[in-house]
Amino acid sequence: MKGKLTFLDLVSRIAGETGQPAQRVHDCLTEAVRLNEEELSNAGRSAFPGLGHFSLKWHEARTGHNPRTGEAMAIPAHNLIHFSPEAPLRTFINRRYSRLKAKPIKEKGASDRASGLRRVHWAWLVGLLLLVLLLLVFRPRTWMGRPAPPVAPSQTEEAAEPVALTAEESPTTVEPVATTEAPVEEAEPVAPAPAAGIASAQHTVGSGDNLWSLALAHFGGSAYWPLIYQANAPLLDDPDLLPVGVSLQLPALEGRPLALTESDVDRLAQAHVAVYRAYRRLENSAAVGHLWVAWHLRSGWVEGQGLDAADLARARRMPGKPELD
Amino acid sequence: MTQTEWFQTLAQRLDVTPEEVKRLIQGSAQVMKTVLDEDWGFTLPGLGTFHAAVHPSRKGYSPRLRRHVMLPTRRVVGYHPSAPLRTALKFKRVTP
Repeated sequence: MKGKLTFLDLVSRIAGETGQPAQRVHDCLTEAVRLNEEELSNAGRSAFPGLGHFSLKWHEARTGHNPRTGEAMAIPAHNLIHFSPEAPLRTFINRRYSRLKAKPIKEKGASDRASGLRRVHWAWLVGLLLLVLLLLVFRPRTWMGRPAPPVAPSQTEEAAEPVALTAEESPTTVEPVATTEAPVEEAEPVAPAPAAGIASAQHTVGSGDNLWSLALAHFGGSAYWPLIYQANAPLLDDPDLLPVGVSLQLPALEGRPLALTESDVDRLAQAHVAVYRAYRRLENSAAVGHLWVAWHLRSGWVEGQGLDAADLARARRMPGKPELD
Repeated sequence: MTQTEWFQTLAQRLDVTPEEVKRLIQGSAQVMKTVLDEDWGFTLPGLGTFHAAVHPSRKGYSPRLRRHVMLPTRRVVGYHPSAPLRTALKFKRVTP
């Protein structure tokens, strides 16, 4: 505070700014103060318009202590006069601070809670990402009717009990394979294919072989295993089970995986229908998946095959498209 | 007492019209505001002294946000009642 104006200074300034005689201003302010005092005394509160409100606050008697001597002393009940400035006055003198606003303080507890929540969110996010990655890596291929890797029992297990398979579509047991058949030696390719395609070959089933791995090795794509099944359907009762020692014909392809010829696509559709029929006979749930693939490859041909209408309808309703990698 | 009654009472005592009193009081209040804004204090004899003080930024608690907040710097109007007024009203219990 720079200092205080005396009452006369204040009166002369008001008189100068309002254009009223100083005596009138003096009388008016004096009377206003007297009126306020009377109002305070009578009603306990009063107001000076444009300045603020005055009020009396009653404090009951209490025991206090003399701060100098420390002795207890009785403080009688008394009034305190309180002044509350009007809002326009507060706003007016705070013009230069009006842009300042209250800012929340970062509390330690709150920040801990917030970071805890953030950690939880991160955990969810990381878990979700891992799940997506796992799904991408091990994406379900039920439509492929992938045979289980450990399909054919080993030579030593042939006479043993049927082996339980872990194939996702048909966890059936392996029928004991007739061991009387002499293992067939792997033969040379019998029908050379065009240079751009894949030549046919023969393969003797060994322990651990399955159509999936044979297709991967022969065609370069495991999705083409139905072609092998179709070529050897008389020998294979169940596409998921390969009898050890049987010689399988690995058919030729005119094209290559991802670059199939029209003829290859026809054969692949037929092969999938053959697998569908086999699975249907074995009541394997993967049957419709193969019908779905065949329908996507050659829908017109498939619909003309007189297949089960309900299965065909289910295949049509299945979402997505097959991947022929 | 309402503001209108207050002006009418004052006008009767000064023997002027309430409009004149109102104009004079409002002009006086405007000058008092300006004086306070200029960081000066003033005295109204029989009522007390008024001044403006700067309250620096401080930590407070917002019941609405339920959080501690940093309250910004503010100017507040200070008031000290005059001794005669304090003495006159000190032990008078008024029930509104």
